[in-house]
Amino acid sequence: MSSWEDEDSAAASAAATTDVELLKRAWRNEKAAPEILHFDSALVSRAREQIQLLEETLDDFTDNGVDDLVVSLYQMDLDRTLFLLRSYLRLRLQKIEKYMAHIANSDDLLSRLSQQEQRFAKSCKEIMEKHLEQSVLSKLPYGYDSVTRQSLSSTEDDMVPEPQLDTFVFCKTKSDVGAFQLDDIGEEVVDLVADDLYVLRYKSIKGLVEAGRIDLI
Amino acid sequence: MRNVTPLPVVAPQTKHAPMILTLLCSPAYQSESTKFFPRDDTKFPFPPPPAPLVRPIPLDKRPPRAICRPCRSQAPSSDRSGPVLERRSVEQVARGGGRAGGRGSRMYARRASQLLKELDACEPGQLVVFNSDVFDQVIRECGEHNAQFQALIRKMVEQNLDIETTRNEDHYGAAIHHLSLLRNKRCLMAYMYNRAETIRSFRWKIGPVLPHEIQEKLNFSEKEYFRSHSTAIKSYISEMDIDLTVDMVPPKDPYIQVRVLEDIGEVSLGDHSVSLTKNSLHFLRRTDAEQFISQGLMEEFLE
Repeated sequence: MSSWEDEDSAAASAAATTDVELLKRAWRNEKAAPEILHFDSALVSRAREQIQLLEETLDDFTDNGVDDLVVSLYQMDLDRTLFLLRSYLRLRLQKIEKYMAHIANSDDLLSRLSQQEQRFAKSCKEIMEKHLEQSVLSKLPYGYDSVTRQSLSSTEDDMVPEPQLDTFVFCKTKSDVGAFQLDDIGEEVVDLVADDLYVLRYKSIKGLVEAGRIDLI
Repeated sequence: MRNVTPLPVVAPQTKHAPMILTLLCSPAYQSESTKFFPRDDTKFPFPPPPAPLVRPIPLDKRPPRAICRPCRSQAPSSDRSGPVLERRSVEQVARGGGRAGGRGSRMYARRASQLLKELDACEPGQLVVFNSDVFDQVIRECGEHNAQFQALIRKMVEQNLDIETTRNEDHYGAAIHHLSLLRNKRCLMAYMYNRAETIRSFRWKIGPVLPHEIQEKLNFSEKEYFRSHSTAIKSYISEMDIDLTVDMVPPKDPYIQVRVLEDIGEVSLGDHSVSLTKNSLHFLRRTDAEQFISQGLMEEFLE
């Protein structure tokens, strides 16, 4: 009986470590990146499954009268994972809130969001536009009443807040990347060694972040 | 009126020239508007060259595009008094046409920048009362700028001048009105937008119902915005089936000690019920206590 339980929980915890680790990485990257990153729906659904599993295990524990200390340790583990997941989703929502118009205009950025986030971004933008429309734009003269453009003479959207992609980020390499070109002309080349810390412009290492070769911290 | 060849601007000599430069070159123009609405400054100060009009627009509604091509080395000829001088600034008109003394009092769109200064002076994450007085004044200013702008364009059309190419005093006068209007618009938008950002943050920090003190700082549209935005967040949360409004800080311990600030009464938490009377201390599950803490009914008790 006890060996059964041990095996079960060992398997569960082994799986949880990796996924929690992955979630932690996704969360950290999301937190440090100026723009919104790809939504890892598979990871999130796996994490949610495991959270549910852990909740059920905990209920079993309380029913079977397992030692309180063990229960509270499990509870703590659960709480932390839940926080991670919530914080991850929250961070993304707040980024969407901040750059709603910019995200809604670009198909590339929209494709990074989950279905639910896309719906949220859309309604977010509509609500904001309605608010600006009724408080400011409807009172301005003809030609100056666009949300995204300053006036009719603007040929492109020039009033959409965008994330600053050339800000600096702290990052840690996971493996040797080798000589890496930071700018387009090849004047700045950095040798990225495994497990080393760097402060670089986000724009230049964007590709590495997306490919998962470098972690933001 | 003669069509005068514009002189290159080296040292502006007329009294109003500094005003133009003040407006266009004022660091406030650039810093404030870029701060709240980042923009590409290469296009500054004028919008890009005109593109052919797609559809004809009635003359009195003619967009400003036509009169605003880039003219880096050109400015109003400085040896005669142009209409910019005669046409007193909106500020002056509003004040009864008195002679403006300092450069500040001559600057268009100064009121709008006051709104942003107010915003900036506020602690981050806090709000002051919506300044509807100044806000409405700026909206009125916008209307006046537009009227002046249209009048100048009409005048040029009546003189049979080509408004796309003519560079006379009316052109520059109109350009100033156009730019002032743009600046006013950017300031108003930035004001509303940044306030809206703070209002959104209340949803995360305080919850779906705002206390009275905050409610009275919002204007009607902002209240509505908060409500609709809360609904959007709520529908996301129910779609995802996970409550995102709890767990705002990383958990350290599953249980915390709390002090009850207001009588809450009998509450059932999990498998047992607790009577939460004012000033009593309890040892509760953090997840249970959090909802009361965010409503301000409890506080974490730290020894």
